[in-house]
Amino acid sequence: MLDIHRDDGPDTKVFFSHSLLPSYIDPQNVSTKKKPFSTFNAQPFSHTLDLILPEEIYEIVKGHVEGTAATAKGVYARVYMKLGEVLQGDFFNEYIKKGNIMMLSEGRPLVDNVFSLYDGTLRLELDRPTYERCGLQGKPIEDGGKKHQKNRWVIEYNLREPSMTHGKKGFSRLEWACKNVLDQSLTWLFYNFNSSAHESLRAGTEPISIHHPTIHAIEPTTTKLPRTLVPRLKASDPSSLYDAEDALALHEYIGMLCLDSPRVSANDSIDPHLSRYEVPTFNGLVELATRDMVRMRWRGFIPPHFVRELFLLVRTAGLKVEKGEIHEERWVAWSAAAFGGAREWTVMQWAGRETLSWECEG
Amino acid sequence: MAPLPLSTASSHPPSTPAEPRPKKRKTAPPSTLHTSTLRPQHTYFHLRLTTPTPTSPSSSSSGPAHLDPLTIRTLLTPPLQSYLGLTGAGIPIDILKSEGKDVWVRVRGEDARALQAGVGAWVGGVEGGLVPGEGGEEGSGEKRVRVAWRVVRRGGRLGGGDGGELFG
Repeated sequence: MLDIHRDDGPDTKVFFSHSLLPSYIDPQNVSTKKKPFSTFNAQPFSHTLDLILPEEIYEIVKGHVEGTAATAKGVYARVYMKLGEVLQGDFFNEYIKKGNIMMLSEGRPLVDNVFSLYDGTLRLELDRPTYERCGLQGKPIEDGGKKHQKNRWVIEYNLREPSMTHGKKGFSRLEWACKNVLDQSLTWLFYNFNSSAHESLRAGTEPISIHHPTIHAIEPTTTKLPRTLVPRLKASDPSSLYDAEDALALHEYIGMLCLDSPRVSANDSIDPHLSRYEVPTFNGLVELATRDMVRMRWRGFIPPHFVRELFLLVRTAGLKVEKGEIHEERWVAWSAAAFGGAREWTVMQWAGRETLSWECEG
Repeated sequence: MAPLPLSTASSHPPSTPAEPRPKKRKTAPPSTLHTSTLRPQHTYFHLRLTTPTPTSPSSSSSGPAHLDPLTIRTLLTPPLQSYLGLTGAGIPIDILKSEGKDVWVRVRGEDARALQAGVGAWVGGVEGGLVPGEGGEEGSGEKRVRVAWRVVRRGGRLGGGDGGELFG
């Protein structure tokens, strides 16, 4: 065997699970511990969110999720500022102490110095020289025993703590580091969880407005996937998909739909020499049907909160189950990719309560 | 000694269910029915065909809109063959999608290293008419363009990207 055939590819792990949604979901107080909501929350910053759904469900939900009448609206801003400016004046008081925002700075994870802010917690991921100059206490990132990887450190501060105010000792050290070490201007993405921020951001009356942010709306683009081969999976089927091969094949299939690959089209005829991909039939147990599917794609700085709203909206509008009615084959699939490209999740939701989720790392 | 209340309860016929039972069971069914950790068998590549001259906007309309799967295979075989000979040329590659000069392919996990190393060290030529945006002017005949592959992304799952373009 040639040495080149050694399997040392990227070590991707997929955490697969089958779960049931709670029988009643209070929209004001959604569970954070149960899947798939825990899946959404585990990935704070997503840059792409895909929704795959059959055209008939799309027709029902499009009024709710697209255009000016959309119930779920999101606005994010791109802004150029220093870390120190986040911790000063109105920005700090209004957004971090009183309000709730999330921010992410540019840079590749595990390569550049990356700063993020989520739920009041400031996270600084630094390389060794910067960490040593900062004089702040942090934790080393586990390197898994890799030999040629530079050590990196993570410093975390909960900025909502009462001790995190101007004049306190710990906070002064952080300010000192921002002023003397982490003093570069960076591009940040900014999202405000306050629902009224939508208008005031555009009006320029927010504390961030002095930094001249560029404001973008998180709006979907719709791609039709006509005549797509779809395995006729029923809501009773997920429990027979526990086999690793089947679960991976289904995950790959949803990935192919998100990619808008011609290989899943019923009209596709490609030589097996060029591609041997086949829509999974799970050992011939599931038939294939030809259906018109739709892919909706949101791009932007997307928080879990936004995903959850959309998920519940699509479920209540499009996956309604009437009493006594059997709609076992209706499902939609969601997929979101995280900044840095290290994480991704996919959730497949049937009408009813069955949920399959895949959380990928690496 | 009087019998314990517990033993009297057990002497009741089992057909009369105790009242608190169903209440207890209501909290019992777990919401998660199954979990497992999977290791993908395939590695997915997002490749981009690069040409030495930056495509001018005027010529971008010439040539095909997307790379043809047959052209992709023809452009992937030589790098693998020059790197690993027949073993390399025989590596099965599944072409999943092409968009402009971007190509998404799938290989078995054990072949991923060969593909990455092979395409990284290869520069070749192809008829300009087959590459999007590289078709020569009408009537100028076929011109060959020098091409190379760039690995944009490699991973154990499809899709992704790091979102870096949102920082503008």
